[in-house]
Amino acid sequence: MKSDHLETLLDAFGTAGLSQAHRAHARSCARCGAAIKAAEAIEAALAEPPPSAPMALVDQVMERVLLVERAKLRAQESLRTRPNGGWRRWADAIAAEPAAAVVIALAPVVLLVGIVWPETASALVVTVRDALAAWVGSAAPGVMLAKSGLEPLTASARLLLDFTLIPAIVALGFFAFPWIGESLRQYVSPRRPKAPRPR
Amino acid sequence: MKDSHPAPVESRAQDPDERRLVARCREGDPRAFRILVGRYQNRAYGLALRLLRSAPDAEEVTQDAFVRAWKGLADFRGDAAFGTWLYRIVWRRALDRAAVLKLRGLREAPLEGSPALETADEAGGRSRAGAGGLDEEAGWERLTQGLTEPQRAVITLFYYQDLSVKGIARALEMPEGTVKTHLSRARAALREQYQAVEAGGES
Repeated sequence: MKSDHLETLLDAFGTAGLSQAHRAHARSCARCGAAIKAAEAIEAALAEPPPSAPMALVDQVMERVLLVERAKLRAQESLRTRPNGGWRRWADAIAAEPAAAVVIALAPVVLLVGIVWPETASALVVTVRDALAAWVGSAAPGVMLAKSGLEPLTASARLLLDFTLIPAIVALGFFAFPWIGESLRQYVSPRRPKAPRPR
Repeated sequence: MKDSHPAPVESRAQDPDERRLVARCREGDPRAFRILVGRYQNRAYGLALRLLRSAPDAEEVTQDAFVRAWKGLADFRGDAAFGTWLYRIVWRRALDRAAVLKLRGLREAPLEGSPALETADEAGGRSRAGAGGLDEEAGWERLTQGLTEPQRAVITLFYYQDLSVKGIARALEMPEGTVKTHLSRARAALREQYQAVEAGGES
């Protein structure tokens, strides 16, 4: 019997894969004997349980579970007690995310400016671009920027740009609102349930 | 210590008591879930600890896994044991956590005072006891430090949690062949590491 064969067996099946013949061989072969001794010691160590969970773990988990349940109940109660639950639920979800509410409020303004005052919208874009260019130019003087300005664009291209701005702002808002919302939430006081009126 | 750990998860696959508890949990009974958390807390925490090697991170991952289990019980079909399903959640959460820690560069620097650090520190000074000189957690830490996360998960579930290759494959969502490969490579690496330590100790 070759020692390589026995080691392959140990790697594949552990000491459970050894027969009496393997063990008998190991008594007369130092390398195989050492391999079996190592495997047995490792298996004993691996079977030892790791430190037990902290004492308060169950309570902490259940505290979080109860919080989840309370939030679920509140949501259900709010749906049950309000008429037109469908759109109200949507509106509540938007209102719960401050950044989303800002984006939704800004989108029609941008749309209105783009449609009614296309020149103003273009001027705004130019202003924003120039400001950005100035900021990048001062922050990184080595960076070459293209000359700003929308004059070379045709009227239809300008209009297209104006309309592209709206979904871009909305998309930016929605992509950003998970973390913007999180950072803003600390400034928004949680809604408190109204106290019942005294009869 | 062993007493605080429940019987192997696979033997519970058809455990009617556990099925009843899971059914009560699905109906929204937190008391039933409390019993399940009590039963599985050490196993879930043990797996997380052996994967992350940091007690605070393991505790956070374990809590998170249980809360996710509670939220996801509606999707639990019950064709596997609750424990197997829970291990899958712990495994995923631990991998996510390990990735975050790796990004932060904190992976190999557990917080001061954590059991993982204490055992690692004590490993040098403590007298070596037990079979072949491996003293529980310190020995485990020392032995397994070169293993990959899947290898750690596989050997933990196989040796400590008593799962079969099939059970591990279900828990970790790996093909059985991959589990066998991880087991075989982990055993080979462990044996080499052990023999190197032994040779170092004798010389």
